[in-house]
Amino acid sequence: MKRGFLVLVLILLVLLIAYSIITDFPVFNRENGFAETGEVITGNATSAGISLTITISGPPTLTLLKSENETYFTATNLELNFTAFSADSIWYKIDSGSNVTITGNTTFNTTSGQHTLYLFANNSDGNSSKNVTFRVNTTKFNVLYDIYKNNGSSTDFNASSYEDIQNLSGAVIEKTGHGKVSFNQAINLTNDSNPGDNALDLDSYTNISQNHIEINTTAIPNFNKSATLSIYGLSFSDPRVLRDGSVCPSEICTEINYSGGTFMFNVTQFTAYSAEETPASQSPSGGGGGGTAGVSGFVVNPDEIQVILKQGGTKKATLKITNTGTRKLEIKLEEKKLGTFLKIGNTSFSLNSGETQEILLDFIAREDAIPGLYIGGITVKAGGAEKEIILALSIQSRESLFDVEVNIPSGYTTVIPGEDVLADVKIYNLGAIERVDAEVKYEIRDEENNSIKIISDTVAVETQASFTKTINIPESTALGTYVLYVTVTYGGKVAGAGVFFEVAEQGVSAREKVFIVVITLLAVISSIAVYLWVLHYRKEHRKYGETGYEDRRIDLRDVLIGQRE
Amino acid sequence: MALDYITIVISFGIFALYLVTILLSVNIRRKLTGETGKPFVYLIIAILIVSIRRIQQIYVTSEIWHPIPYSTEIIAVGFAFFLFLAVLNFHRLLKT
Repeated sequence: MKRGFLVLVLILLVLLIAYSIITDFPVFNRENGFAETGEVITGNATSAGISLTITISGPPTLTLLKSENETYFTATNLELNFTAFSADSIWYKIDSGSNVTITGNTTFNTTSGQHTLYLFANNSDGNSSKNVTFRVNTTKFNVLYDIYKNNGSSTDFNASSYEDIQNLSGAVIEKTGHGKVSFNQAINLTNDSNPGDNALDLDSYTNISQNHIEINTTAIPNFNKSATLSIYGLSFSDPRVLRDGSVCPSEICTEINYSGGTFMFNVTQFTAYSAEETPASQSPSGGGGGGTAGVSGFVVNPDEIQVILKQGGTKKATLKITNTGTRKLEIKLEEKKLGTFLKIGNTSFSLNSGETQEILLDFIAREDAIPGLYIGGITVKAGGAEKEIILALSIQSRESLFDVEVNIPSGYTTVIPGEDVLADVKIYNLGAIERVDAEVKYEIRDEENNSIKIISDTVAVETQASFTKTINIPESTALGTYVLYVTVTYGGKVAGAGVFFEVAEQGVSAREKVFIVVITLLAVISSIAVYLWVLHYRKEHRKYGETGYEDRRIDLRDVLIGQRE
Repeated sequence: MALDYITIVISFGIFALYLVTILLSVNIRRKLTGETGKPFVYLIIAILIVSIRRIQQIYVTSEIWHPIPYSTEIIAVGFAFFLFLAVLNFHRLLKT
């Protein structure tokens, strides 16, 4: 047996050596051409490098891509996009303003009216210039999209001209951590149900929240287009699409894929979409619990509402309650902590199975309201169950010099106690023409409006300051929903904005998982190895006739019969 | 959920005991001749089944596997069946 094994190993070794000789030695390798014989070539082989330099002379070649000869409805952050070939320096000016040197695409601010943008470039051979005349009319149209502004890959609607938004392709609205809508057809943004108001209110008529994407197609029928929807943060193993709470038919919804808690699917038209676990066995009985609110019998959307108001301002929001159960429900809504800041349209009503009721919420900030963050909620009670909706109302000073935007990048909306929360902060200087030092305060508050952490900073802002702030969440922080509230104070005036994030328990890391698998395999392999070694050890000792290692075979029946006798 | 080390350590302890039991049972089976080894074969299969259950417990706790519906019950039925076969065979052995 042993000899046979040795012979086999030797044969394999010889084959291996033979193979490596054939493949490595050129004399056996026909591809290298050495196997052919007959001609002898004599002489010296030399090589020479060729260097080719093409010099293009002349002034720089400039192409001005944006702005265009169109009308823009915002005066801030207008795009200046261009290409410049063989330019040593590039600069631009607006009308007869001062020159601004740039190195690449940039944005600029201007005022209402007609303007001419001049773009210059030079090199040692001369100058080039391009110019374009454009108009700014801030009253021509207004897109309200504070929820989506600088949020994920959302389209910056204000960067487009009035002409462009009438046939806008590839529009995206995304709320990081919740979901995304990528429209597959061009949209005329101006053609909503009330074109005369020169406004499009995406904040009020769209809703992307936890396991819920909805577009009010009555108010904005121009958004009733085919689109690709992504719902983030799902924990289902095999989700399916729900349309208005019922299973979406295949002619409307087409599933694309589900991976890492993100569910992607195509829809041909709009209403409210969500997802649920596909039942193991299909049951014809409708309704049931589950859904976004996680309360059996009814679903509330959204589960978080964030509103920014100036002193004296008002804003509307809607809350949708759907009866997903099979019996009629008496619904009661109770306001919590916001007092006179919130007016609920309807606090008591009944809902039949499958029915949905929209509740209008009016947020009101009086002229004398103290600027700051107010966290409250609405308790929805029905059928012995209740669900809390968190409301965060940020009130800004009426004449604040600044505007603030705060956004937590996707992937950072859930943090573990002891880790950092990352926030992208943008501060806009709306009034002063010079650089000013503003006091910036970052505050983390829980659902009960308790302050968990406060950090203060001073930031110099000329026209705009944009930065990422890292704030450590204390180890002792309880799990739940929190608001990161950023305020900018200057001259006694306060501007602020908040963003929700979750503090959640740490999951099992990939390292720990690998460790567990390795330990399991090691346990099995080492047990078998020890067993085989013991067998081998006993066999070896038997060979040498040592006592105590005899391979005795027993027939248990003999033993049992012996016992009986 | 963070990794529940207590469950993992206890489960590994149980798993190690199962492994030792299987190896000892294999050894006993080797020493038995004729029909008398059969109950031990069934016993080994039964312990293998509960070992799989223990590995499942470890992997589900570590979030490596998602729990399969009714898997615990199916494994319990398998274990009960083979344990029954082992005892039944041993009982027959006593009668002959």
